[in-house]
Amino acid sequence: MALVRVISSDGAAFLVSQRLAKRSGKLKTEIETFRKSSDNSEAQPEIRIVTIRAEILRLVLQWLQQHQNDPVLPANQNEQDGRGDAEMGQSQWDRDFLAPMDLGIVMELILAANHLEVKGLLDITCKLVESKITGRTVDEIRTAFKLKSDFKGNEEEQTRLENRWCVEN
Amino acid sequence: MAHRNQSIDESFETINLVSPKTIPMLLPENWEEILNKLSPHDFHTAINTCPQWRQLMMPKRTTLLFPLILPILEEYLPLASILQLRGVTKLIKVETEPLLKHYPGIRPPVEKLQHFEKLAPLFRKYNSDSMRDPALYLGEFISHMMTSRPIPSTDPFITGSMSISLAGRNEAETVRRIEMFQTLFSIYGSHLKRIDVKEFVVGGRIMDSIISLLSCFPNIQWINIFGGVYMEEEIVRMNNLPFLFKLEGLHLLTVFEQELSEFDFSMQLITKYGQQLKSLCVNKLLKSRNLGPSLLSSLAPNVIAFEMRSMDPVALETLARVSWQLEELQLGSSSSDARSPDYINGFLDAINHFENSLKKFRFTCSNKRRFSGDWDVGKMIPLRKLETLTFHFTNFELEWVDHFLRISCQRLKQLYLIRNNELTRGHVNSLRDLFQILPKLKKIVVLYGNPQKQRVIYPPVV
Repeated sequence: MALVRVISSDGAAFLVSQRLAKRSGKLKTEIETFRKSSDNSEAQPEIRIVTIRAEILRLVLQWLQQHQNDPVLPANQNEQDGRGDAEMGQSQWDRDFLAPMDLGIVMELILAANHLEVKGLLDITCKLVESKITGRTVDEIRTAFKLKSDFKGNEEEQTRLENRWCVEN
Repeated sequence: MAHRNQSIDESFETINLVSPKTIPMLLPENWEEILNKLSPHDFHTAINTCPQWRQLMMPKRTTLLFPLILPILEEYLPLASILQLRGVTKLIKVETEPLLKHYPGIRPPVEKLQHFEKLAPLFRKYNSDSMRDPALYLGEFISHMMTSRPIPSTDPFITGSMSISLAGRNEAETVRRIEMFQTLFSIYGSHLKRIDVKEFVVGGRIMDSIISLLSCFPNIQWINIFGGVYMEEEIVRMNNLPFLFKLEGLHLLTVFEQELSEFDFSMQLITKYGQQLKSLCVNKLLKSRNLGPSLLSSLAPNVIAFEMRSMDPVALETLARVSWQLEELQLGSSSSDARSPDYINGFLDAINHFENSLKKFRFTCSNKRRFSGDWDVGKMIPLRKLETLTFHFTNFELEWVDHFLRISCQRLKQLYLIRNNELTRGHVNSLRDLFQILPKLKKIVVLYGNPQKQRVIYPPVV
């Protein structure tokens, strides 16, 4: 089995099959670039991902491993709306996978899935964050995301007034 | 650097990291002070640097990563949620502004129109007290919005963009409407960066109206003028066109009863603003023999994006000799029969003229018979920078299209097809074959009239 070493920003190396790695658009491109530039066809590619730390990279690879036999999402998108259907694609395993994560980790996973071009993982993580924003008030969003208002003086009131005709019922 | 291989299932805690040897030498509160001032991008880099920094930055993670994921989240969030986020923190507000620019125009949803009074504070903010009768204007303003085409509802004070229609049901209403807009824009026109003026049918007043409206937009960057003008008299001289120092885009898709009037109208605007334009869109302007490539190049020397909705051999000849370094080109064929060799050669000459600069090309031709003549494959040359190609084209399966893709589009990254009818399985398979032919192609997007049906085809995974 052909393998590839994927190295996180903090130096942890993960040895995974190339078949699995190629389910990430970014890793697929990197492997192909390595193949073209390498004289030795048997050489093992080594890919360093400088924007993703080990804990997050492990989660991405874990998700890919779980979904390795799924149809590749982009080529099998929902024919009705043409977009990746995160609701349809979210299994009980996905829900259990995301359940223990705090929002900081989920955000790092979104950035990682986006960087590594893993559409299915991007869909379910974005849907999770979206569910914590849509239909919520400003205060509820601040609570959910542990955000502190940094508006000064009447800036907040000003913004609220600007939003008023589109947002409030 | 030596790395220890990890199995994916191995718990993170047991990983022996070989990470940078940075040790925080300052007190945690000093580090917090420093790290708090990082931009979201620098923050993301810093949390990937070492566990000690990550530990220090943990409490700030959601605050500072949120702006970074916003552009990714955009396609998952409804507009109302994006507007809501503006009020959460300053940083998020700043990051939402570019997202809101994707929603040009204005049309409050019908259910919101029941609450006119909600608009009153917004208008007061922009000094609407000076208006003769704010309630009346407000009512007219909103009823006008109801006639606009259905587009996402946004607030022009936020997006800096607005779409207006000058045409009333009769002349009296048109005059009243123009007065209303003049009053409104004299108050808050400085907030607009883009304006779409459409559906005007009045006669001589139109020039005065446009001049007086334009002077209300000192910060305007983009003007689109659509619609028809039906008038018997000649176009008056627009001597008083105001200076619009920030204007970069001028789209003139006006249809006049007489082509000469259209030429005169467009030329007056291009003569005034041409030197500062980067983007220009015209309907039939280049068909006129009065406008050769030299004159066009001197009037508007800095254009990098050009669109021509209605091309013919004369227009294509002008385009093939103009001294522009076009990066974006859109060509449309609406009425002429494009099967003659002159037409086809002119089309290729025009595109080839921008072989070293063209990055995006869009071609619209909805009639099956057109562009189906004999194409000289020998005239097709590689377009060295072309990365995005959009075909709004019924018979995409034509032989010349295949040659054009193979010869001229070797560096293509994205192909967009706009279609009225569904793709068959055979079509999809032949499109997938393009990934073998075009080495840099990353995706093919098929767009239908109904955006919900959009379909993306990616290269097959090995």
